[in-house]
Amino acid sequence: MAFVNITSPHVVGHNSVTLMMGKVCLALVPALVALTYFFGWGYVINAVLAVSAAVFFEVIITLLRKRPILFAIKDLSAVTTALLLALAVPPFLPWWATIIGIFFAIVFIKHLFGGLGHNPFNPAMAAYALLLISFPLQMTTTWSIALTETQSLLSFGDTLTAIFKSSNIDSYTGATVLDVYKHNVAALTQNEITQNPIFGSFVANGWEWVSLMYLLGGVFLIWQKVITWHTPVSVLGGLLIMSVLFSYDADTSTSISLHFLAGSTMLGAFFIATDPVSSATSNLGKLYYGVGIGVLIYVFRTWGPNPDGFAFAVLLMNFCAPFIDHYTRPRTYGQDKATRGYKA
Amino acid sequence: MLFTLSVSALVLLSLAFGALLGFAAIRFKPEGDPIIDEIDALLPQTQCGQCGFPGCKPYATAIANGEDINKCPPGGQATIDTIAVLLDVEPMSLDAEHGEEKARTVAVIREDECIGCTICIQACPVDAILGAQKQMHTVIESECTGCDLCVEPCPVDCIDMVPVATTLQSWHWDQPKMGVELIPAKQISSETH
Amino acid sequence: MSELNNTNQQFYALPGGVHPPENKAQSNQQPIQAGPIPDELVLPLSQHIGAPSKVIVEIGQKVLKGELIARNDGFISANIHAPTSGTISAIEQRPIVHPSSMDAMCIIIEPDHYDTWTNRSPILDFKTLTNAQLVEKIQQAGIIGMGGAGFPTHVKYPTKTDNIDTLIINATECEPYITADDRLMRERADGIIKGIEICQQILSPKQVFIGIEDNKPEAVKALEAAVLKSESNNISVRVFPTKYPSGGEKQLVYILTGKEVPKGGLPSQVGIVCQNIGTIYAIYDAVMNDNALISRVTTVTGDAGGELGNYEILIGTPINALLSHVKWNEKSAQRVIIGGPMMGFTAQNLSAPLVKNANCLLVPKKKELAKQNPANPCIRCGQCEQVCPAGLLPQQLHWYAKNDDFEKAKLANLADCIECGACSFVCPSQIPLVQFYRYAKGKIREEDRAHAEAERAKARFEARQARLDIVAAEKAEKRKIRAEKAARSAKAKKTGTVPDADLIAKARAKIEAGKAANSSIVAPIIDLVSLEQTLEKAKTKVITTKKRIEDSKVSAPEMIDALEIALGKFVDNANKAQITFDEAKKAGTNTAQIVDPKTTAITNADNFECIESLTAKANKAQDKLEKAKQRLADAKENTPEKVEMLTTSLEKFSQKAIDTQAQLKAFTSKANSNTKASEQVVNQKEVEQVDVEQLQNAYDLAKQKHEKALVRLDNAKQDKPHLVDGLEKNVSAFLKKSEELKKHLDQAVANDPQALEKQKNVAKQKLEKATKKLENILQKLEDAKANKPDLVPAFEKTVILMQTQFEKAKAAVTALENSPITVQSELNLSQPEMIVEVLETVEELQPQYDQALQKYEKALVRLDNAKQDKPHLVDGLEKNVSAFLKKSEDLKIKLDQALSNDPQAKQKQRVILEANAQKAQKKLDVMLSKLEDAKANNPDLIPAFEKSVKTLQTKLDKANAQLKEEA
Repeated sequence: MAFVNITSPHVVGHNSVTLMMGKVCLALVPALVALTYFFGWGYVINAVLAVSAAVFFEVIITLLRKRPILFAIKDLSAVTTALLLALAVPPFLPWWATIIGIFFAIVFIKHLFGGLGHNPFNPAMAAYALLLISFPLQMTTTWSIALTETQSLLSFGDTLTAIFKSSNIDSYTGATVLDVYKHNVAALTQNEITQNPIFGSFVANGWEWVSLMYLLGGVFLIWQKVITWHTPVSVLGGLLIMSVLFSYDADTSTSISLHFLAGSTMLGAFFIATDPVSSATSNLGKLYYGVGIGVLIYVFRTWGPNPDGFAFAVLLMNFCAPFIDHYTRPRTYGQDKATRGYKA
Repeated sequence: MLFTLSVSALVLLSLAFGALLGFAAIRFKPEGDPIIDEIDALLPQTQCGQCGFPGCKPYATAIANGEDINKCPPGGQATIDTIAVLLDVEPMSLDAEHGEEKARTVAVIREDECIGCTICIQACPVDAILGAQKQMHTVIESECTGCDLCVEPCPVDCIDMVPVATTLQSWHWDQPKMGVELIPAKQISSETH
Repeated sequence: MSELNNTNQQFYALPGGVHPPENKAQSNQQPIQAGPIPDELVLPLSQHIGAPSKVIVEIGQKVLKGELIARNDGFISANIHAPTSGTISAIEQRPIVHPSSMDAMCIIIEPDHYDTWTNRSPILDFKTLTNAQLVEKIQQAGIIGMGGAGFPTHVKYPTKTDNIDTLIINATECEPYITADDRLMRERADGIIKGIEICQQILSPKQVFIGIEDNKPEAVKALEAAVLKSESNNISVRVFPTKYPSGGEKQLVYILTGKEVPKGGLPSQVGIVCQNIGTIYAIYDAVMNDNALISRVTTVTGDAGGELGNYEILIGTPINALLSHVKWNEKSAQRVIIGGPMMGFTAQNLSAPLVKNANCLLVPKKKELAKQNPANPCIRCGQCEQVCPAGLLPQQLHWYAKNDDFEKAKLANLADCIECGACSFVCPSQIPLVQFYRYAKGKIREEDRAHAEAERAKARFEARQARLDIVAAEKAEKRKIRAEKAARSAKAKKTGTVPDADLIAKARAKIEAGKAANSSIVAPIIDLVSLEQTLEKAKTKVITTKKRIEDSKVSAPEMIDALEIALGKFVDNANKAQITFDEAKKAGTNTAQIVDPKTTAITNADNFECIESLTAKANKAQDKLEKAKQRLADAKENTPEKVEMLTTSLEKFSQKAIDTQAQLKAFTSKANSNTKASEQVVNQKEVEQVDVEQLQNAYDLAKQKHEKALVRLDNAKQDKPHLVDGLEKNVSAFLKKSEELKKHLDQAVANDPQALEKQKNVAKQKLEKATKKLENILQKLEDAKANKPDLVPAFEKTVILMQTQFEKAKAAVTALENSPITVQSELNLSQPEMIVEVLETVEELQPQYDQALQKYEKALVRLDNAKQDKPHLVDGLEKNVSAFLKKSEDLKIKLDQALSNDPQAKQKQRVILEANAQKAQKKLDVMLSKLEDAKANNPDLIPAFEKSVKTLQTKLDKANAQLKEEA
C-alpha cells in the first residue's frame, strides 16, 4: 500500500489565509456601514469597483507569471487590499483614479515584488500615496460632507454618475475635519473652529462613529487572533504621547481627541499598520514599529503639508521593519540574552 | 571674506582628514591579503583544477584579483552565492564550461587490474591513495575529495568514480515544496507534499 | 511569564503552545492488553542514542526470554535482550522505522512460542543494594528513555549526585492520541512509585515532581493514592493545565521549576534529572523483578486501527504483526504513523519493528486528520512566533531555510527548535514549517561535515606541497653541487692540478669500506659437501688452466703470460679450498669458514703449485715492483707528499717480488731435480728402446723442445732477465737430449732394416698431426677475424708456424718416399720462415665455408632475439649478419672454384666432411657423458648440458646431411 511519506505534524489547525483575510474583511463591514450611513454611497461603490478591479488585475498578472490562478485568488488578499484602499480614499474619487491606485497596488507593489508575502510596503498605502501625489486635486476635493439635519447625501445613481462621470457635486463635497482644523488653527481658537458645522456635537460629525466601528472591528480581530494587540496599541500610544506632548493646548494645535477620532487613525492603527507582510515580526518589534507610526502620524499631521499623513508614516516604517526585525529578536529558551544584529 | 574663509576651512579640513587616512592606511595595514584566505575558506578544497587553476588557493587568489567566481563545479551554486555575499558582487550561475555540479563521488580502484605503477599516487593532490611500487594501490575513501585527477593517468584505466552512498547518519530530508511549485503538476490532495 | 497558582504550588506558564484536539478517549477506555508473539522478532542494534550494540550471539543459537543478545558498545550505549524464547534465525540488514526507509543491522529471532524466561533473581528490598549496584542493574537491563528520544538511562545517574536537587517524572503525555502512560499510571501506580523510590535512593534529591496534565484525572488519582502509600515524603503529583507541548523535557522543567536548561546543555546543569514515567516503571521492573527491558506499552489508535487500545508488546514486534493482531482496517487507512500526530513520522515498510521508544501506532482514516493543503507563501502573520515554546521566530527560520541561508538560520537559533510542530499547526498558509527546519538542520550538519572534510583535504594538500617542495629543493641543491664540482674539475683538468682531494678521500673511504665490508662479511656457513664441491671445482680449474697453458705454448705463446697469472689465481683458490676442507673435516662439524691461506699454514702436501703458476706469480710481482719504482720516481719529481706512501708500497712490492722469486727458485730446483730424474728415466728408456719409431718420435720431441726453449730464451733475454739463466740451462739440456737421441736413432736406423718404413709411418703420422693443427689454427684465425680482431695477428703468426710445420712434415713424407736413403735426421731441421700464402685449397676452404655458414646462421638467430627485446643491438647485428652472409658467399665461390680446380676436390671435401662428422660425433658423445655426470651429481647443470646436447646433435645431423649430399 502506497502510504504518504511526510513528516510531522500530521494535524494542522484549521487556519488558512483565506480565513484570516475573510475575518479582516468582516471586521471592516461595520465601518463600511457607518461610512455609508454618514457619507453616502460613494464608499460602497468604490469598494465594489476596487474589489472587482483588484481581482481582475490579479488574474492578469498571475497568468503572466504562469502561476495557478485560483490558488492566487482564493486567499482573498487582493480583496482585502482593495477594500482597505476603497475605505481610505475619498468617496467621490473618480473611477479612473481608483483603478490606477488598484493597479499600482496589486501589480507593482504586490506581484512585481514576488506576490503574496513578499511585498515590502503596504500595497494600499503605497497606492494611496501615489494617488495623493499624482492627483492631489481629486484626492483633496472629493471628500463628502457628513450627513446632518441640514446636509443630505447624494442618491445612489447620482453618486455613480459623480464617480464615473466626474459630474459637479460641489454642494456635497467639503474639506475633512482635520483639514479645516489645520488650516484654521493658526488664526482661530478651538471654539471658533468648532463652530464649523462639520464638527458636530461631539468631535466630528460622523467620524466618531466610523472610528468607533473601526475600533470594534479591530478588537474583533485581536480576539480572533488575526492580529496581536501590540501594533494598534503602540500606534495609538505613540500618537497619544506625541499629542500629549505637543497638543496640550487645543487652541494652538489639533486636539487630542480629534487626532484619535477624526481621520483614519483607527483605520490605520487596526487595519493598515497591522498588515502582517510589511510590518515587523516579533512582538517587541511590533511595539517599536507601532510607536514609530504613531509618532510619524502626528509629525506629518502637524508639520506636514497634508492634513492626514498616515500613509507616509506607514510607508516610512515599512522601510524600517527589516532593521527592527534584526534588532528585536526574542530571547530563545535557554539563552541569557537575545541575539541582536546581523552577526552572532 | 566669507568665500576665502570657507574655502580655507574646507581645505584645512580635507588636509587634516587626508593625513589621518594616510596615517591609518600605513599604520594599520593588514598583513597579506586576508580576503584570499576568506575566499579559500569557502572553496571546497577538492584541489581538482576544474576551475583552470592548480588548486583552490590559486583560484582564491585569482578571485581576489577579479576572476569570475562561477568556475568551481564541486562547490556548486551554494559556494558561488556565498562568495558573492562575501565579495558583494553579483552571484552568477555556474559556468558550464568548467563542469557541472554533480553528486559527490569518490574514486575506487579495481584492485584486480591494478599493476602497481604509482602514477595515480603521484597524481592525487591530497595523497589519498595508499600504495607503493609493485604493491597494490587503494584509495582511502575518507580522504578522497572526488577531484577526478587520478582517473586519466592510470595506464590500465582501473579507477572508477563512484557516488558516495548515503548512510543513516548522512541522510536528511529534502527541502519541502511550497504550493505554487506543486499545483500545476499534481492535483491538490493530501497525498502531495 | 505569568504564574498560575494551583493548590499552593507554583507553576510557570509555558510561553506559546497550542491545543490540538486530544482524541484520547478512543484508546484509554480499556486496560492494557497483552500484545502478540509474532512469527518473527526484529531487533535493530541501534534503538538508542549512542553507539549501536555489539552482537554476542550466533545464528542458530537458542535464546531464552530476557537473555542478553547484544552488549553495549561503550558507555553511551545499551544492552539488548531477547524478548521471548526462540532461535536466532538471522543477523542481517532489515528495514527499520526511520524516515529515510533505509535498512539497518538487526538480530532476527524466531520465537518458539514457549516464552520461557531465563534465570531471574528478583529481590524484595532494593534498599539493600548500593547505588552502584542499582545503576548496574539499570544498565544491564538495557533501559533507555521510553518517552521518545531513547537516551540510555544509566548515563543519567552519575556517580556524583551532589548537585541534583529535583527529580522530575514526566507523566505529561501531552501529544494527542497517545494514552500509553495514562493507562500505565492507572494500572501500575504502585510499581511506578516504587521505581521512583529506587531513583530517589540513587539520586537523593530534595524533591520529586510528577508532572501530569489535567486531562488525566483518573491517573492523577491513582498516583496520589500510591504516593500516600509510599514511605517517601517528598514526592508530589503536580497537575497543570493541558497544553501541547508541555511534555517536552525542557518545557516541563520550566513549567514545574521556572528554571531554564542552558542553551546546548543538560538539565543536570541546573540540578534536575528528568525521567519518563514509562522508564521509571521499567527501572522498577528491572531492579525488583530482574526483568530486562523486553516489552513496552504501545497505544494503537486511529479510526482505521481496528481494536484500539493499549497493548504490551514485545520489543521488536513488526508493525504489521501488531496491526493484524488488532485487526486493523487496511483499506481505509491513509497512513501509518509511529508516534503521535504532532511528532510522529510515517512508516513506509510495515515489516519494520517497533522498538523500545515506540509509544504509539496511529492509523488514521482518510478524512480523520485535517487535510494539508499545498502551502501558501508565508504572509508573515507571526502566529508561529506566538505559539513557539522555545521562543524562536519560526517565520524567519522558514525564510532562511527556504533560501538555504544557513548562516542566518544558525544565528536565529535553529538548533534550539524541538520540532514540536506547534508552528506548523497554526500556520494559516499551512506551510510544513517543521519539515523546513528538519531539512535545514540536515543541511547544516552536511555542510559542517563537508567543511571539516575540506579542511582535512586542504591540510593534506598543503602537506603534500611542502613535501614536494622539499624534494625539489634537495634536487636543486644536489644539481648545484654537482655543477660546481664539474666546473671545478673541468678547471682542474685544464690547469693539470692535483685532482680533488675530496674525491680521493672518498675513493679511499670506499675502498676501506669495501674492505671492511668484505672482511666483516661473515662467510656463509658452508657444510662439508659444498666444501668438497668447491675443492673439486678449484682442482678442475687448475688442471684445465694448465692444459690451456700447454696448448697455448704451441699455438699462442703470447697468451701464456695471462694464462699463467690466471693459473696462479686458481692455484691459490684451490689451496684455500683444500685447507678449508681439511679444517672442516678436522673440526668434524658441518660448519666452516673460508680461511685465508695467508693466515693459515699451508701444508705442502697438496700444494697445487707448479712452475707455471710460480713463474707467473714471480712475473707479476716483478711487474708491480717495476711500476711502483716508476711511480715513486714520478712522485719524487711532481708530488712529494706522496713519496712516503709510495715508498712503503714499494717496499711491499719488492718484498713480494723477492718472495715469489724464492718460491720459484725453490720449485725450479725441485723441478730440475725432477726433470733430471725424469731425464735419467728417459735416457734409460731411450737406451732400452731400440725401436726406430719410438726413437724417431722421441728425437722429434726433443728437437721441438730445444727449439721452443731457444725461442723462450730469446724472449726472456729481452724483458725477463731473471729467467735467462734457467732458460739457458733448459736449452742446453734439451740440446743435449736431442743429440743423444739422434745418436741412438742413427744407431737404431742403422740396425733396423725396416727403418725406412717406420720412419715413413712416423712422418705420415706427423703429417697428419700437422694437417690437423693447421686446420685448427685456420679455423681459429677465421674466428678471430670475425669476433676478436685483436687476436688476428697472433693467430696469423701461429698460422705461419703451423704451415711451416705442415710443410716440413709434408716435405719429410715426400722426401722419405722419394729418397729413402737420405739422412732422415736432417729432415727435422727447422727451416727458415716460408712466405705466407693463404692456401686456398679445398681442405682449407671447406671448413672455412662451413664455419662462415654457421656464423651466419647464429647471427640470424641473435638478430631475431635482439629485434624483440634489445632494439639498440639490431643495427650492429644486422651488419654482422650481412657480413657473415657475404663471407659465406665469397667462400662458397672460392670453394666452388677450388673444387673445380682441384681434381681430388670431392675426395678432399669428403674427407673434411667426414672429419667434421666425426668431430661432431665426438663432441656429442662427450657432452652426453657430461650430461650423465650432471644428472648424477650436478642437477642444476642439467638444463645447460641438455641445451648443448641439442646443439651438438643438430650439428651432427647437419654434418651427416652434408656427407650424404656429397655422396
